[in-house]
Amino acid sequence: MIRREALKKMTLAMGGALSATTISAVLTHCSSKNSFPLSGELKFFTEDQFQVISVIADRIVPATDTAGAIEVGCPAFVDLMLFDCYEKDNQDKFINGLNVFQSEIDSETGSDALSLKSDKLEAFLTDYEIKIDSADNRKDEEFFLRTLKELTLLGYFTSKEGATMALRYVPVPGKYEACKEMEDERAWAL
Amino acid sequence: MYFNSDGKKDHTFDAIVIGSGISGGWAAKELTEKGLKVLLLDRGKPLEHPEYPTAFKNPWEFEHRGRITVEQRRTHEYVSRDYPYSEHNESFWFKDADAPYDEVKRFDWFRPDIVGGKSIMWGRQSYRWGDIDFEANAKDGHGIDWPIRYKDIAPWYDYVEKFAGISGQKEGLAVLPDGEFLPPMEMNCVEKEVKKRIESSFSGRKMTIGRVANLTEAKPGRTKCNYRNLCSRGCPFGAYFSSNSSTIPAALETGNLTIRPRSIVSSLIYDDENGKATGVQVIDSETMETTEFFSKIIFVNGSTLGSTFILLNSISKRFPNGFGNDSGQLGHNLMDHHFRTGANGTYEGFEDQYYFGRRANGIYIPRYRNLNGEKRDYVRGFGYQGRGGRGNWSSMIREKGFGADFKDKLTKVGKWSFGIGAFGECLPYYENQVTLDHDKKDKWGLPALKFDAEFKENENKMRVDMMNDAAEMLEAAGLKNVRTYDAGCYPGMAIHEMGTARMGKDPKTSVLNKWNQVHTAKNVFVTDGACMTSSACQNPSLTYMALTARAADHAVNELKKQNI
Repeated sequence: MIRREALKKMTLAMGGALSATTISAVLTHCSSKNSFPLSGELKFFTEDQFQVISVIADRIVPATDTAGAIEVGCPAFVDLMLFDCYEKDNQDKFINGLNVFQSEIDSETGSDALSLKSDKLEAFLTDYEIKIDSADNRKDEEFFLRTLKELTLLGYFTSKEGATMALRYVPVPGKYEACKEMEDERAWAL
Repeated sequence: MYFNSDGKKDHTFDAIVIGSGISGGWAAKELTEKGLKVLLLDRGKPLEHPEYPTAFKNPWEFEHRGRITVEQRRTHEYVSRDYPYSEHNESFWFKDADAPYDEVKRFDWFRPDIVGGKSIMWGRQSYRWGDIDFEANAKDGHGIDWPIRYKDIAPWYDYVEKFAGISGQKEGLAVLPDGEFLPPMEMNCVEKEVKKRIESSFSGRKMTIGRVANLTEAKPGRTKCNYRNLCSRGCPFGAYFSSNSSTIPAALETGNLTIRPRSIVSSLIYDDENGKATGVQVIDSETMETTEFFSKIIFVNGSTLGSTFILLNSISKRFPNGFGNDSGQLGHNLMDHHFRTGANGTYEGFEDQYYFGRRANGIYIPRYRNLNGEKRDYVRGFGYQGRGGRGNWSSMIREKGFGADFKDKLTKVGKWSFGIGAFGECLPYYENQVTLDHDKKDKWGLPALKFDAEFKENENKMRVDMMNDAAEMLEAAGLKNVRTYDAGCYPGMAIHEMGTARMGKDPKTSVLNKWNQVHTAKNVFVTDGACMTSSACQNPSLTYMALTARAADHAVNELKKQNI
């Protein structure tokens, strides 16, 4: 979706002159970087960091038949939470972990997180999470990724779309039924 | 209804009640209904039923989605140590930075800052104490004997339960007497299964649905529980018992109640000539103005440590060491339940079953240790609270994974799990105490409390059983991946603090008599947790309610007889 947005913008910029072949080349080779819109002032991240946080959040909760982390504003929520709710030492730990992550993704894939194709990024993240978890000298990276995932999931599943569409939200149940046949596999939001 | 301090109003009432929480609300209700003009003082901000600021907010309407900020942790040093303080009800809690206290040993003191006190945020579990509890001190020699027995309080349990509305299941156990229950809430399928297996595997053990002050049938002005499980934000339906939804409206109904929020009682006024308390000194928390109010009787219901603070800070010629403190026991014998240990496991089966609604209640396993002649390597016992349920995203938040499959997995209902955690009795130790630190003053110039209390050998030995028994029961119940935990526990954490102005038969060893009257100033009653002579292992609030109603009845009778 984001990629398509970027393409659309590019198309407009180039006067609508992109051929099907060019579009396909852009999609497969990812010569364009992902770019995520800012809804307001950043409190904690630099703009570059915000872009990286966004592209990872998009892989933690991608848009499927329901909205994803980007549509519900998770990156801005992560920014706010790190600024308001985390002590300085943990903020530093997070940024340090993020920096290590960025240099590693560069050196291992030859590409930065924003330029990587989404399935490649997802595969990298999946391996990376397991790798840092089993190492004992990767505390900052582990803290960075775990915190980012936690905050993204918190932000997503407590968002209006996350709670009411991805999950089921009943503000006033009015009754308690202790056990009944499940007709919908989605969990209750609360 | 709220007091309008114009300096000209008559400052004299029949009764003053200090504190509007669980016990103070009851005192106000009982005394006003018996015709007394009552001034109800609370140091907190006004909070009028049904206007609870966050009760109908959706999760996405909280900026930090329930979490608290670094700044809030700084201003709320003690209350932010544990779960009760969250963005969902942060305005209900006292700003610790305004009155820091001393910790010779760690003590987590959770102070509210609202009319209604902790009756708004309480856990609502409501259990009677039985004779085994009232006889415990006399039998094993720890502490002093209670001046009452179950038969003295039983009718008052009946009385308060009928008004408060406690849902529960009768079980016919002496250790946990039955009450005047509303219909019980239902256990889910895993809980029912676990119950069956625990009861068939261990003779003498019982698992029952939690006895909880949430209505399963409507009461006047209060609807039955809507199963939102957002109780700690205040319930606009009045579906659980709180002072704000229940006792205060009843007291207001009489036309005899005046409520004065933001009123910090600094001390009781004692008249040396007449030998009785005549009123209270009040500091307005906002204007810092001091005022005096006068009455025939005073009910001190400022919470265990709030009440004891007032007594310790009430110095007169007659009482140089604290109000009614001839015994030297005031401030001593501080207790709290120890908990945060137990076990949990997963349940395989019932995969196609789920529940509807959020039951604001769990299950309870009453005490079974050291009964019927059994002797463990510790005295007294513990009970368990727990619940079964299915996981959701928050229980899978540490799961590995990314992408659409990961998202899909987290949106789906998770595995069934079941867990129990024990609440253990704490013995009354004289050396577990609070004193006043006059070198440390709060925002209002009042001295700080100094806490010096700890759990000891008896509690630590009990914790071994609390953890291992939990695992044994869960394994017998067929749960898989059973894991034990002991997260450690400091006094105060259970928010069941008790003692420090105990009841007793002998004025030489206790502060209060069997009617909760100060032995040496009989027009002063203390009926909150401060009065407790032992701690049992059951949640104590229901007992405060019953003791308060009983004491209020006695107070009015004594007033009529002109004995006080």
